[in-house]
Amino acid sequence: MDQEQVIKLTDLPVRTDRADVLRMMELKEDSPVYEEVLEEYEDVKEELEAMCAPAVLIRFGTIPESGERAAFVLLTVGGKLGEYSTQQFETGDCLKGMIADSAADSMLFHLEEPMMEALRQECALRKVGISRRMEAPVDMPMARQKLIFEKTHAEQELGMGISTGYMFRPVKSQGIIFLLTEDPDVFRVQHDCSKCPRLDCPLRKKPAVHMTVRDREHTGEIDLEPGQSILEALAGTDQYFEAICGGNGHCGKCRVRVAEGKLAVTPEDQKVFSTSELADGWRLSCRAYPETDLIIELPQRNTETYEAVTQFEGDTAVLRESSSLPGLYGIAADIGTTTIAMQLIDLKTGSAAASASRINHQRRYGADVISRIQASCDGKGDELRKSIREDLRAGMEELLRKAKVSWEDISCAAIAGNTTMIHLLMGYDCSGLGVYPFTPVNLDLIESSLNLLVSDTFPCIPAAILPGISTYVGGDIVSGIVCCGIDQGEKISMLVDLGTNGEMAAGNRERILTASTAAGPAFEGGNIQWGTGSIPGAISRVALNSGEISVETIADAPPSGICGTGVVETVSELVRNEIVDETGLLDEDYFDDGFPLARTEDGQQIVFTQQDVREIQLAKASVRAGIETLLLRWGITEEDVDTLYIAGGFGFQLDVEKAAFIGMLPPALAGKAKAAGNTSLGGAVKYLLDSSARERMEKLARTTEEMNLSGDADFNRIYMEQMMFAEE
Amino acid sequence: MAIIEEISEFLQKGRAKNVKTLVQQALDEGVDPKAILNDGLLAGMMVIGGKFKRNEVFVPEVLVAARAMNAGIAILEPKLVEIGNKPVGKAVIGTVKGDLHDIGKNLVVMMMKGAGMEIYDLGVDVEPDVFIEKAEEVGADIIGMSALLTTTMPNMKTVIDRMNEKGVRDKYIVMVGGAPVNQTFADEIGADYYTPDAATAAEMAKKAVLEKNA
Repeated sequence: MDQEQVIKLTDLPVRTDRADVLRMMELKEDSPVYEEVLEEYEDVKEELEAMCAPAVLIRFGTIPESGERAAFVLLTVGGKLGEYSTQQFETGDCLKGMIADSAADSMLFHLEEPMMEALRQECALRKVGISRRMEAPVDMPMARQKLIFEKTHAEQELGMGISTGYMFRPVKSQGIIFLLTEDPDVFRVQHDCSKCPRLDCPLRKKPAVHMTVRDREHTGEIDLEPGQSILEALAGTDQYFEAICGGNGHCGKCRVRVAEGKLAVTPEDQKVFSTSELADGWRLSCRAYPETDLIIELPQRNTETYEAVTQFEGDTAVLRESSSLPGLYGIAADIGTTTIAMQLIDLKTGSAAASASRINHQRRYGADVISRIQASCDGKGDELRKSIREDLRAGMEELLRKAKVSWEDISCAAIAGNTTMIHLLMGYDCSGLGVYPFTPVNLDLIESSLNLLVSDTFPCIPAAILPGISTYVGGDIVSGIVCCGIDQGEKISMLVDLGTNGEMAAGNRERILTASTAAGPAFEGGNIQWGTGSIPGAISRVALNSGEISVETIADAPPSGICGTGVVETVSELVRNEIVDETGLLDEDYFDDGFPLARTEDGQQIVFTQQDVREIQLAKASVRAGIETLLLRWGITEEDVDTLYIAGGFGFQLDVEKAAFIGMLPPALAGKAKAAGNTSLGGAVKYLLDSSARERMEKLARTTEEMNLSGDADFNRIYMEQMMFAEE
Repeated sequence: MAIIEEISEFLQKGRAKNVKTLVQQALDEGVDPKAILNDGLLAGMMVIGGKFKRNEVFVPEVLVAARAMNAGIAILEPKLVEIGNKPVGKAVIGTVKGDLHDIGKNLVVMMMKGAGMEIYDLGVDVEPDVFIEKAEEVGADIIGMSALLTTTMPNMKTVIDRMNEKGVRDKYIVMVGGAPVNQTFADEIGADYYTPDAATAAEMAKKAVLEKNA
């Protein structure tokens, strides 16, 4: 393919678009200078167009490192316009300078039309399509511009240059790499406004494709921006998906069925779906970029029935002077990344008068904290904050309704959550959370009130947000440590939260060590092809005996996926039956299509794949290595540990023996493991009831030592060792 | 003085013609050229800059006002030279090596001129040593650098490192800006100030120079 010639187009129409220019300059119609700017533009328009020296270079070839076939494209309007603009600024006519600059951009954009026409013809000749458009620095590094520059012979053909920072000279030029596909019907060449970080770009494209979305109960209408995937479009609605892999086309969670209209089959679709499923119209919405109107159907789901665990370890004896409290009840809340759990606590008895749980509706922006941080940084911070406030509001009202109490009877509230959840609730800038050195805005105990934190329709009731230790080890863990009383015992106990971050703590009243292990979402059903949360229909128990598979589902509903406990049990059974060997290799009979567990109501095969086994190997090894490294730092062995508290909804149902069997827990700790339930909620309850809890938490936040495992030699060694499954 | 206020008002509305006429008229009436500059033209520009910072006006309004300011200054210039008017301070400004973006830098230059600074615009793709040589040559107070790419941002540090090597770092106030730049980055490379927009840059430049010379 590198024998290809450079295709050079120079005889091109020049076009400026007045609306573009005005939008780019941010000239509003009600501006007092509107007329003046417009007049100026009309005056210089022709002069500017005459300065334009449009050219397009196209060359087909391959990307050196990956060998992917691509079309390298360079567009330019020449150098005169930029020079003219600079000159105008120098002589003081900034307005003309700016108009020239914006007009040059507009002319450059309009070169796209003839370029695409040529590209379409060239693709047709070669019987290929275009699967993706890439521009620097959004979709590829700036250095890629150099490749475009060389591939298109821009220097020889047009006398262009490139700076050490990989900018083209003249500046009013643009480089694009189009990835090719064998499928000539795919032609995805539009600039993807939805991916561009310039949210304030005046030229951001308006909706173009209309989509009707149906599920069992309702029908919705959505407009898609060009270049926006169905998944992205759904993210702003109630009918969202939990894009566990972050929309990268491999978790298979975002499947939709095209009922009417055309939607190309992508390579990712071919991996996930069978031929008959493809024929039925099943597609991954994260890879689906509709180009024409269509109607899609969402698979039957049950996210609203997510039940958060509200039980937890420890007693809730009243330790506060009850006379000091004006009301009768307090509200405790745990904001989890997936679910929100709340209790209304009778402050006289310490018992729960009502419990409530809800799905955290921020899930529509992604399943894990990273995607929430990303969404927040993409300007969705206000939406995320609104979402969590609304969930808390609804949950609290539900508590009051259930217990038939009124606001006058409520005297206090406590909220625990991981650092990201608290940042989102407080409306803090999350940009520091996602990048090294992972700096949070605030970790301190926050004393505020419900009307400020949750809803301005609520009365002013004192409410505390529990303090955290770091970006990774947040208030939920501080709360959990207090719930289990780890900071009061003489003997050393451990707390392990089997969520995405795999936070853990080990210590006693003298000293506490914490760490997070980035276990990934596998234990919550994430990154597992048929993985799901703890919803009705999720496979939670698996038994495989002499080739006979039997499964149990939550609420005995028809199978719809595999939840975390089901995942652990599946792996455990597959290893025990030697269908997965000690290296994690799935028996060759199942290697390609996965091991079949059950069928869904509509006949799809629920399988456990080789990739799923690999995910669990990574996750269990990191939990195991985290636990052992903490013990090493303490200088103790498993024998010295008093209790291992396993926190979280998943931990609550976990068969500890099976978890130990697959190597997630050290065998010696299996007998000491205790499902501790929602310890984050438990700690918040303690905060309400026990006047010493506040001091304990603040002390924990101040003195707990956090270990960085990612660079720890012991951790890495154990992690590698524990990747395997032990032979019996 | 009423005519000076009028000049400021017209400038804010971007009426270049009226500004020109009024500046000439004020000169003819014997008004102090410095007062015309500072209390009329530059004061008007400050108001617009403030509004821009608060999102009350957008770029076009600022551009039109700046053009009116420049028209006024053109009339005033010979008089200012004659009486030996000194600028608030001098700044050497450019876009760093490897980076060819110039609109943002041009807007900063425009606003700094509007704050009464004398500007030496080095253009784009400026070699590190050129910043320093020019600053030394003209006796600048400020070295201002712009970068719009994460790939070229590190060249700001190169300039500062070169200044340290040459032992001239403390002679200058170093200001940085551009889309990917932020306060953390400015602190890391040892710049004195980061400002998020052109109007703030101009205000900061003026303040910093006054403090330096105080």
